[in-house]
Amino acid sequence: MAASMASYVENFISGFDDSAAKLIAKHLAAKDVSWTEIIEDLGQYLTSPTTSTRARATRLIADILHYIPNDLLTEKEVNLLITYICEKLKDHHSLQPPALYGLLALCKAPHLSSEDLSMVCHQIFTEVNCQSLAQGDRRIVFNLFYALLTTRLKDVQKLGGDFIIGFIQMMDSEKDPRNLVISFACAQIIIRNIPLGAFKEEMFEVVSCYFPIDFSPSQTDPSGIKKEDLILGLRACLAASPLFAEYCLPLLMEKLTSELKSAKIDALETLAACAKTYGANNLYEFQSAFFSSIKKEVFLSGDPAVETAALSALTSLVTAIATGVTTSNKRHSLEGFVDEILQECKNHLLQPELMLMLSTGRLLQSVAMATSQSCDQVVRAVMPLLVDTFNKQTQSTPKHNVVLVVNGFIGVTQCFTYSDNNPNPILTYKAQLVDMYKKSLGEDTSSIQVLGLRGLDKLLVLGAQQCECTDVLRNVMCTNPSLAENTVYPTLFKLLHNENMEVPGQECLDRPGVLEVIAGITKGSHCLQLATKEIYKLLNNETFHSLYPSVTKCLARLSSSCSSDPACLGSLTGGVKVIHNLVVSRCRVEAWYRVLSDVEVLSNLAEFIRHQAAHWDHSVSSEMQSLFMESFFRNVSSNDNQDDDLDVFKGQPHNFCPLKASCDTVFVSLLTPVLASGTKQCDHVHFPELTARLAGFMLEPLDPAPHLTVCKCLAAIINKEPLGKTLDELLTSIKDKLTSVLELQGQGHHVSALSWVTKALVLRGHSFVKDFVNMMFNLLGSSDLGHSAAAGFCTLLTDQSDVLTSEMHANIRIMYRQRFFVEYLSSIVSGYQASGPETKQNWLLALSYLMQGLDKHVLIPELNKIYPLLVQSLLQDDLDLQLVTMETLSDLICSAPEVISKQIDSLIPKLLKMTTYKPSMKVRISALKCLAGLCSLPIPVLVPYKAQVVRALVPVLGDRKRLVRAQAVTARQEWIMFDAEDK
Amino acid sequence: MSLDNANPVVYERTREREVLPEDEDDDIEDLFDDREVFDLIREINDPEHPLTLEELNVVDSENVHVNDTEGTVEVLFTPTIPHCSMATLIGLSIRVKLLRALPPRFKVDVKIAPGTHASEDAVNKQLADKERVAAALENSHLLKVVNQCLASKRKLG
Repeated sequence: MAASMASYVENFISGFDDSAAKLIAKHLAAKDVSWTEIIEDLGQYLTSPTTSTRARATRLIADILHYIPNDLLTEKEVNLLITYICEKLKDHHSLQPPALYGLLALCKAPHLSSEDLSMVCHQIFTEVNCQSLAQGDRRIVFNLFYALLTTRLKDVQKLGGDFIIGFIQMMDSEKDPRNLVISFACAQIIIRNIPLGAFKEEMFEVVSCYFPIDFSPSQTDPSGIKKEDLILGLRACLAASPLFAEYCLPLLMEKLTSELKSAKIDALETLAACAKTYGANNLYEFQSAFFSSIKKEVFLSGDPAVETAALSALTSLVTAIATGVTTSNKRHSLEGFVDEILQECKNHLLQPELMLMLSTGRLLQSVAMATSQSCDQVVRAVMPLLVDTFNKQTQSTPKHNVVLVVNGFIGVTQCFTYSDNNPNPILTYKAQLVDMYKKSLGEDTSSIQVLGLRGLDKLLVLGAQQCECTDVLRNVMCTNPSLAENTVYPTLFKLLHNENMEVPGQECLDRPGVLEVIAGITKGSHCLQLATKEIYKLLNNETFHSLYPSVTKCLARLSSSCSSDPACLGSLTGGVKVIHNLVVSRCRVEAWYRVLSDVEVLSNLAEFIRHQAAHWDHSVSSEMQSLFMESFFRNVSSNDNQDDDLDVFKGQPHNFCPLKASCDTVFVSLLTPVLASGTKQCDHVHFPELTARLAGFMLEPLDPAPHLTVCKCLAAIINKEPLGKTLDELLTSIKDKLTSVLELQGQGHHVSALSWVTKALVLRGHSFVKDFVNMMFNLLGSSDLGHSAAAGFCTLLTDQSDVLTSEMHANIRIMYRQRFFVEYLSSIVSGYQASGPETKQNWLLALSYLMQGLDKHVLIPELNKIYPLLVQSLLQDDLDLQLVTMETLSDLICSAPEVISKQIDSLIPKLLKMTTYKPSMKVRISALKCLAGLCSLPIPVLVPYKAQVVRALVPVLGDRKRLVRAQAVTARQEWIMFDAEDK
Repeated sequence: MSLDNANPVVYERTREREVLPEDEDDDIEDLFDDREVFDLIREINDPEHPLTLEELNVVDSENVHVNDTEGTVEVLFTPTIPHCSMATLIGLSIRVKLLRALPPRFKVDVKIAPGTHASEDAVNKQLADKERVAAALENSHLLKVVNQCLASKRKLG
């Protein structure tokens, strides 16, 4: 073996066989031979007097080192080899390249100790004159440093300044691009990781002398180094440490004024890269100068590449300034800088006819893009100006420019995330912007329209509120009817007809949602016609039964929003006929009946009719009335009691018959708006008969819902019937019937019928009122019906939304509620005093309804009379009464503090007692709210009770219900603090 | 008076607690929980800034521990900066607020979150000493300052 080794070595030295190194390395790795043997074989060559032989022998060792596995050598062997090879560095200069090559291999060895590492560096720095080496050998040196810096950074850091100055000497005046790429990488690591100390300027000089890079690679260059690699390598070095700021920023300033385009771009891009590391403190001094240069480039260069670089440099600059610590010096703050920029540029925005305006827009947008604060500041300064400018312009080009710039700003704000507490600044100007976009949609030039649409689109993404989207869509459709006809409605109705709307991974409106959108976007007769045409079809389609509540709601909304437009009434009246036909023809089919008699559907349909009926002219009104009257009366007299298979209709007439068959009475709710919405009472021949029938029905034991519709219908008619014999007769007959029924076997529904009739009369102030009200008062004293009668006062004095409204031209006397109060208060008070204990609470309840929603000026003069009753109400064991009373009390505490102050002595103990009222948390909460409310009274009134209340509320703090506890905390807090000085 | 921390970070406020159907059911008893006590103290005003303790992250729901059955409440609060001179006042305000708002069966501990204040132990000791708290509230000037911290926002505004 030893012999073959010797021959390998010999062959290599003589230059015959370069593969010897590989073979020897293989044997070494397999431990067939040892290093000692090889060195022995090499001995004669290593000490040979011929320089070239020595060099060749060193080369062999270096090659072997490169071929063997990294971790083969022990620390001791590494140490020996390093010591030996370092000696070779001092030998003849031609031995240096192979020695360096060997060291490069050793530096990658994991067993290299830090002492050896330091020795290698030291020896290289003292012995090697890098500049005199060939390019490839210099590269070995840089690769060696790169290997050390990337794998053994900790040990290199220990060398500190020595390493830095050594490296600077090595790198100095390097010209080869391949070596520069490596040495820039080394320099960057050094600058980042080793304190530069006294050498910061030298380090900067040795790197920055290459700036700006001017290098054009030859086509045949095998290394494939590109100009970009060098630029990026150098830039990373310059941006590596804030210590370079003082040298680099002036250099960049100088290069910015260069005539050379590439130098300018390089300087701008380098500024962008450096700004962040250099930090606000280093930049303050230069911020204005840089801004002027950047502004000049943006305004004057006209070269897109330069402009892009300049804008991104500006963004980085502002971002860096924003990281600065807030100081009182306004010049040295983000706000100050942005202010300065705004001052210089703002005026250009006022001249949208110039190109400068667009450049300014881009400039300010890059400032805004930097941070959310700068964005906020710029947007708030600029938006009002832009909107104002837009409104002042008359020509289309300037308007176009303004919209373009505004859109840009909206786009910029999308870069940041906003929360409810910190909303997007654009939203502040939403109203003005939407207005501006609407105007731009109205422009003749299509490019502005397109911009307007784009802006709206972006704005809607920000707000993402469906109502605004529908607003916009509505406006767009108004100006573009064809869009509505060809795109919007077909899409929406296709969605409706599409059963499976769930598209995976995509949020989509459900079908009721689509109907809501349709109701929201439809405006104007054309759109209404398109929409209603389809919706009426849906009504006749039984596959849509489950959607009926939504479909009818949509109709009701359409009618509410479009009725006031006379052009729309045609489409809407068509709907009434459709509904009429539907009800009359389908109501004996069980599936249809179930859907149509649904309370919600019916009330939506009634609302649909109600809104438009108020706008019908006389002829339409008559037509509709006779249409409904005919069908409602058609089967009244005939007596066909044909049996039907369906259970629901057992014993019911074969056809639609709302005034006879109890199952159809709910449909009277459709009749009410037709008959009672107009200004003029119906004059149909059957009308007197109708009222008589309704009056009869009212006393029959119907289900609550149909009974209510009958009562409402009759009340609406009575309210409008002109004074005269007919009305008197009707009222007398109702009164007689009611009196007799109530005397014999009065029931709840009779009482409610009575209260509805009374309501109709009270509203118009009819002379019969007194009789009817007295009937109700009499009932209050009844033990069975007293409670219903008290509830009747609620019906009597609460405004309804669907009947007896001023929108439906009901006959309402002004201040009817106040008159009623004044007129009947004393009756209630005396009735209360005269009544037995079990009916007292009915009177109190009636009184509480009487006072609800009443103007305080009417109430206060009577308060002394009422107050004892209120206190009594609190003592009653009636939940409704207590709650209503406490609500009244809360109102009074605010509106009549002086009265409450006088009575506080009796009030506080009662309220305190109720704070522990076991059965209902609502009572406890109301009582606590009242107590808290008392704290608004004058302090001297409260002080005597403070200790008592504060103590009494302690147990309530531990109430079993959390909502009560929360209220107790508030009340107790108010009582503890009401006399605090800052009040 | 110069401010200890002139430029604090402002945190988002939590949403109001959602009212669940069982909260409105008379038959179910609601136990005291962490969130309820947190709701009591989150609206307390900072002595220096027009912000609440929640907005300054001095109190957060993670650091409120309530055990209803054992009747214990522990609140750990975090001063905005480690040498905040207002720490004792903030602790006192939290203590007084809970004193006024919790039933007496609860034993309340108000402490500085470990490792967030330079003189943590001293402040904790002061806050735990009932006599000292009571004495502090006898001081009308101090009581006024505490009441200002506890005053509800709508009154200030």
